[in-house]
This record gives sequence, structure tokens and C-alpha cells, in this order.
Amino acid sequence: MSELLLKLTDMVIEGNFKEIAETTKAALEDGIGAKEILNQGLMPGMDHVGVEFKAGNYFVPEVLRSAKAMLESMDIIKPILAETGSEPAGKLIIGTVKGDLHDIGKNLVIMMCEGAGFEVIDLGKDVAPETFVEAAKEYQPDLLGMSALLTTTMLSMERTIKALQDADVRDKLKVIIGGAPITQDFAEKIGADGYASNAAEAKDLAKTLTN
Amino acid sequence: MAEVTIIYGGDTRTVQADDGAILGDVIASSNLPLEQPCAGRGTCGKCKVLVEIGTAPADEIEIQNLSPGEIALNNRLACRARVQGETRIVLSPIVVYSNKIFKGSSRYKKEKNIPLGLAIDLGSTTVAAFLTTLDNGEVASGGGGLNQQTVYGSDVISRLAAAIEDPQNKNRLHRLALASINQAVDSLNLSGSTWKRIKQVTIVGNVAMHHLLTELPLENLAYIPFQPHDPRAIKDAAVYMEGIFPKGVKVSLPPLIGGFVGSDALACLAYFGFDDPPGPMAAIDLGTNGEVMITDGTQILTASTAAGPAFEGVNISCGSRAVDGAITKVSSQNGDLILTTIADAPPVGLTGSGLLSAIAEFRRKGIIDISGRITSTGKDQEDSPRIMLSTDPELYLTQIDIRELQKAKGAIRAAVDVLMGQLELKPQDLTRIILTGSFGGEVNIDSILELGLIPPVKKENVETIANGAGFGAAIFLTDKGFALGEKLAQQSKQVDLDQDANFYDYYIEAMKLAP
Repeated sequence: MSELLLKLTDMVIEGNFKEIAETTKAALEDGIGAKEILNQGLMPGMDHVGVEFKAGNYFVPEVLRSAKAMLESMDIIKPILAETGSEPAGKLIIGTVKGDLHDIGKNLVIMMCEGAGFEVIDLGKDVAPETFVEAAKEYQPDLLGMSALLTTTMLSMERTIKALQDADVRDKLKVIIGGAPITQDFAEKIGADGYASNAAEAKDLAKTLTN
Repeated sequence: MAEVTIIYGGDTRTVQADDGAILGDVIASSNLPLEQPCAGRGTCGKCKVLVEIGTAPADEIEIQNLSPGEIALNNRLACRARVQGETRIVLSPIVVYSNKIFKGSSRYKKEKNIPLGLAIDLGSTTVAAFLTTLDNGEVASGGGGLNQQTVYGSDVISRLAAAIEDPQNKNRLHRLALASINQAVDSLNLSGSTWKRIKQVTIVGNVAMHHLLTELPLENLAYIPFQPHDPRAIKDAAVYMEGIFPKGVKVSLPPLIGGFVGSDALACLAYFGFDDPPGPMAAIDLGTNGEVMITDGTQILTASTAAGPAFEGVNISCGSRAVDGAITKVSSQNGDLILTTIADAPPVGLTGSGLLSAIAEFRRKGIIDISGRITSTGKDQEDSPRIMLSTDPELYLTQIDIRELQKAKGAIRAAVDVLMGQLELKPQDLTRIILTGSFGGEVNIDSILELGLIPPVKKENVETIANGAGFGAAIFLTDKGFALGEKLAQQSKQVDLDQDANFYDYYIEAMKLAP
């Protein structure tokens, strides 16, 4: 394995967002492919961050720094990946549900999933059921993610799932949910395909459901 | 046979019982919790339930052991009340806090002509009542108990959700608020002659508590825009009291500030002198719902911030409420850890102040680094880092516990930083920082400063004051005090934290464990 790939992994883990662009360019000049950089350089780094985050050893600020480093590198390799027609791990549309403005948790999930090679479409916050439905039709994703921080707003998740059924798109994707008041029981009750209690778990869940 | 429906928060059970059966036995058969420590003698009052329909009239002993307010609300002693026809009752935890008993001036006992008032702080966790002399606004005594609404969840959002889901729950939460007020007032042990002197009651609380008490529409508060349905003062609120106070007693609800920032924060502003500040100052009510109030000397900005329950010792592996043996302070002597506990009892767990003090101590020792991570020297086992507090295998801090504290701390500090930023204040500008709330009144100022829960200021500028909201409510008992409250409400602005462009960056920055 190229030393530059190992260095990229370390730079993601350390959150070295200032120098990673330069190292990425050096790797490309060295003849390493964009796909290799993603799969063998960046992704193992984010994987490590996810494991440590789940254990509590890394915390939100560390994850954000690592994600920032990853994105700096992605900015350089993304156009090349697109040219070479490289397939993402899967496509996820995600949003904070209607009535709710809390998006830190959702943003962490986006970073983790992008770090695992997913193409993520962020619908933002206060996303109405019909907006989720339209996005599901437009982007035809493998996964639809919903986040809610409040016991009151989490009820909107059930309405979104109902709206997906009414629009005949529910069966074409998997629904994953999360947020402080959410439980596995609640996920089962409203007919979601999965629940994750933190961003790293959400990424694992996304991988399992798209495999 | 009669059908008996028992409601315990979201849990509703129906059992069949004979007419004349003791309610307590019927509840026990439903497997729902009910304490009956005096075994049916009717003296301890722990088995009080709210009856919605049914049951035979109370006998002499039962009536003797219920206050007029409780009778008005149809509170009954389950150990003595008997089933009659279709019956529906609401259960709630009856907890009076012995450590909330407060003794002030006893002047009212000698000067029997001074009119009296009751100031009530309807908190989401604790409900406190303060007997006040109306001629000078002095608090004579105080007491409190658990808010019985906690059967619908310890956080206010869960209670709002329950009330929105079912109008019957909304009415139950209203009655549980009144029952909790009864319970707090009852803990003052007022005599009949003292009751006759009570002319005025003022109730303060956060916006959720206020709206659940008055059964106002909740949708505006529970969803975007997260604002009160109506923030105005209710000068004649006796109509919402269901007769728990004697006829002729005036009840008033001061105005709300906005968002979730209610009349409890307003009461703090009044008590801490925000109407005439010596210069820029800040007050922080530390609780599950933290409230931050800052003035630059002219403007007053307020915000509520979801700190979560870590400060109450909840969601912490060895967390504890303020019971005997709860650790309130962790320090070091000759390299050994010294645990200070309530009543000097053997340590059972960490209170919020104990948790802050422990983390500050481990930071000093280098066992926890600035990012909150347990360093290798502090690890007991490689795969599950934890720090032992003593030789007791149950007393330890985990990495996740530290993260919980960081989130709570970050939420408070970010709110402070947002308001300071909007007022263009620097830490050194603050002449005074007051920490209040049930936990804020007893917290260790050194740990607060070392961990950066508040901006870096001189230690002598920081003070802790317990019962800020209750004592402020006492000010609102007079017409003049009430007018001051209305003026402060107009002067104060509530800030939506997530609308501030810097909030996210502040929050992330505020998670570090340093000044």
C-alpha cells in the first residue's frame, strides 16, 4: 500500500484539513487513482473515526474536523470520480422533519455517510412529508433518512412514511430514522426499516441496508 | 362489579372490582405503582390519587387527612376511598423534598395583621411554594415537592406531546400541576389562621408549565415557531385554579418573555435586579431547560437552551439525585481522592455538582484532556475507558458520562456566548454572574470556571443564589412588584439560538473542557 494512502488515512483521523488537499494532489500525481484514494485512503480514516465516536473516545468536534478534512480531499477527487463513472456506495436523501429545526445530529450522519462513500442529498430542516415524497421521486434514492430532536415533531415521521406509501414510493427505498427521542420500538411501530442511536451507527445501518 | 380505569402517564389499565372495594387494593391488582406506607390508616398521604369519576363519598378520617385544596381537586386517599360505579383515577408520584424546606423571617407570627401571600415556582421538576409577608415582600418560609406531571415524562416536550395527542391528557396535566401546587403549599404546614391572612397568590413557571396549567393551545409552542400562544399576564387567574385556594384569594400569573423563556426567568430578572443593573451582568438558571439572561446595562436578552438532564445527575452511570450519600464534591489530598457527600453518608453516586467537580479534578490531574478524552493514564481497561472514584466497583465515570456533561456544558456556554455576542460584550465586561436553579444554587464555582461553563471572569464576580425564581415571584405579589414584572417583560427580548449564525460554531467550541 502506498505511503501516501496511509498518510491520507492519518490526516482524516487527525482532522488535518489544512494539508490534506496537497497530499491528495500528490497522490494523484503519483498515479494513484481517485477511487483508490477514496476507498483505501479516506474511507478507512472515517471508519476509524466512526468506531472511536461510538465508543465515546472521539467527540463531535473531532468528528467535524475529520469530516472537514475528508471533504477537502473529496473536493479534488469528486470531478475525477464523476468522469470515470465510479458508483457511490448508495444514495441517501435526508432531512430534519417538519416542525423541527435541530440539525446537528443530521449533519453528523451526512458526514459519516459521505465518509463511507454514499451520495447524500441534504433536504435541510423543517422538511414536510410531501417534500420528502417529491425528493424520493426525483432522486430515486436507496435510503431515506429522517431526524427529529423533539417528542412532538417525531410524530411527523409516521406521516412521512404514510405519504411515501400513498405516493407508491415506499417500497422503492429503505427508511432510516434517528434523534434523541427515537427508539427501536418507535421505528418498528411506524414501519421504518431501521433506527440508529448515533451517527456512526446510522452509517453502519445504511451500509447493511444497501448491501 | 364496576370497571376501574387507572391512568399512570401513558399507561392506562382497566380492572374489574366490586362496588365497595378499597381503591388501593384495586390499584395494586393492576400492578401499577402505589405507595401505602401507613397501611390504610389514612395518615401519611402518600397514596393520594386524582379521581375523575366514580368512588363513594369520603369518610371522616379521609376528609381530615386531605387539605381543602385537595378536596377541591378531588384528590382521594386510595387506602380509604371505595369504588362506586364506573371509576377513573389518575396516579402520580407524591414526593415532598425535605431539603427544600426553607425558614426565613418569623415576623408574621408575631404581627398578626400583616397580610400574607404565596409565591409559587412551578418548575418542570420541582414545585416550590414560599409564604411571603405582603407589606415588605419578605419570604417567611418555603417548601417543595416533585412536579407530579413527571409521570408524563421528565422533559417538558414529552408532556406537551402527551397533551397534544389527547385532550384528556391535557386536562390531566392541568390537574397534576394543581395537585403539585397543593403538595408544595401543603409542605409549608400553614395553620387555619395563617390561611385566613393569605390574600394573593402568584405562580411563575416556564412557558410549557404556564400553558399546561392554564390549558392554553400548545401547538405554537410544541412546533415551529416555538412561541407562547399568549405571553400576556393573567391578572385574575383564579378561574384556572379549580378552587384549590380559598374564595377571595387573588391569583395572578405574570407575563412570559418568549420562546420557552417564561415568568420564572422574569422572576429571576426581578430578584437579581436586572431593572437597575450595576453594569453588564448575567444570570444562568441551570437545569434540564437552562435559561440564560444577560444585560449590557440597558437591553436585556434571554434564551432557553436544552442542556439535558446531566446536571441533575441523570443519564450518568453513577449519577444520583440529591439524596443522603450523593457526592457533591470531589477533591484530592496527598494524591488520594476525597469524596464529599450529603449528610456525610457513604457515597452512592454523583449529583450534578459532584459530576462537575469530579471532571474538573480529573482535568487538573491530566486524567481527562481538554477534548474530554480519558487519557491512557486514567484508563482502567483498554477497551472501556473509565475512571474509578473509589474502591467501590459501582462508582466510576465513563467516557460517555464525560460526553454527556460536555453536551450540557456546551449548550449553556453557547447560549451565553450568543447573547454576549449580540450585546457586543466581552467576558471582562461582566460585573456579576449569578448561577441559580435547584442545582445552580449549590454548585462549586471553581469547577464552573475551570471547565468553562461560564466565560472567564474573576471568581469574586460569580455567585450562586438558590430559589431565584421563587423569591422573584414573591416580589410580584404586590401591585407595584407585578408592574415591575410587566415592565421587565417588555424590556426583555428572547433570542432563538439556532437563528444566530454563530451558534453552531460556539456550541462546538464550548464542548472543550477549559476556560
